[in-house]
Amino acid sequence: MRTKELFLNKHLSRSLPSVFKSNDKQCIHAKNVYTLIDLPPEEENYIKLKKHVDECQVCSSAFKDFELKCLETKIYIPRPQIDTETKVIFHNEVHDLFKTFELNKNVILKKNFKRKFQMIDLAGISFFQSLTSKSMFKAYAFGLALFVILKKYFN
Amino acid sequence: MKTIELEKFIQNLSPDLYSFAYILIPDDLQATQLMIDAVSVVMIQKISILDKWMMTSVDKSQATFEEIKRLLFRSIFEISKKRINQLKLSLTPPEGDTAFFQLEFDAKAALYLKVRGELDLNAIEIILGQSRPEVLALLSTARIKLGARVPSIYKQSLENVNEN
Repeated sequence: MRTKELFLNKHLSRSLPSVFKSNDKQCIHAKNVYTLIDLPPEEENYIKLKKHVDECQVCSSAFKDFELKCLETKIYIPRPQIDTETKVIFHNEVHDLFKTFELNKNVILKKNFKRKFQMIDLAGISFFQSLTSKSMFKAYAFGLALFVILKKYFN
Repeated sequence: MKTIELEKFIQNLSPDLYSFAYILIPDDLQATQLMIDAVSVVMIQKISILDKWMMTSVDKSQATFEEIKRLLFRSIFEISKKRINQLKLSLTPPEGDTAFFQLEFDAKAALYLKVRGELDLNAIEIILGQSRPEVLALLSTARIKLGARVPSIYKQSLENVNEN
């Protein structure tokens, strides 16, 4: 029992909250703090990490170096510019696509009307088909017989 | 009237779309084709969204515009991911930006969208089709790798000051 307790204590001492101790030289969060640069400040993870970075010197200096390096490398992330000719080609292609797809209100209304009419039409056909089915003929025959019997009885 | 509005919106996105397409496939013609294909794919796949949007009121338009923008980016990413394997051998990274273009495909896309595209993490997750931890890992890896590949201006200037 005692061994199990010791094992649990040892195991728990390595679990997540323990690494938030300040000034820990063996801080395993030195890598995770890098995500701080991309997290939105309102998120819970950001608040936790920020608190840790503020308290831990190792992480704080690691993060400052990383932040500086990111600022430096920003200029190495290119933003290719589109030339006028490509722009014109793209504009024309988009215009042609819109023409092909007939994306305007009247066409869409027509399409919707057709779709709904087809649904009604399909429902109509299936209704007439069911009226002329075998089971319906049996029902008609049964109804007729019942009518004749009832008529005789009441007369 | 709304059709023209949507058409103009997509046309005005051309600098952003081209920039992203070129980052993924650094070739003028391929990037242009990628943009056009992305628009076609979105129009075919998401015709129902466009149909609905045509019938919505003006105040709801902005949300749909943002959705269409994200769909276009996502489409560019998906198509380029399929094409890059075939084109890999024939492509040469542009001069001056080799460090960035040597990054892994997904990491490059994530870093570009975050830094140059100025998109939030939710949008990047949707575009790349990955979870939040995966996107964060991609961004960190990309930043670390790019940092290791480019010379440190800060350190160089410090050394220059010390030498003087």
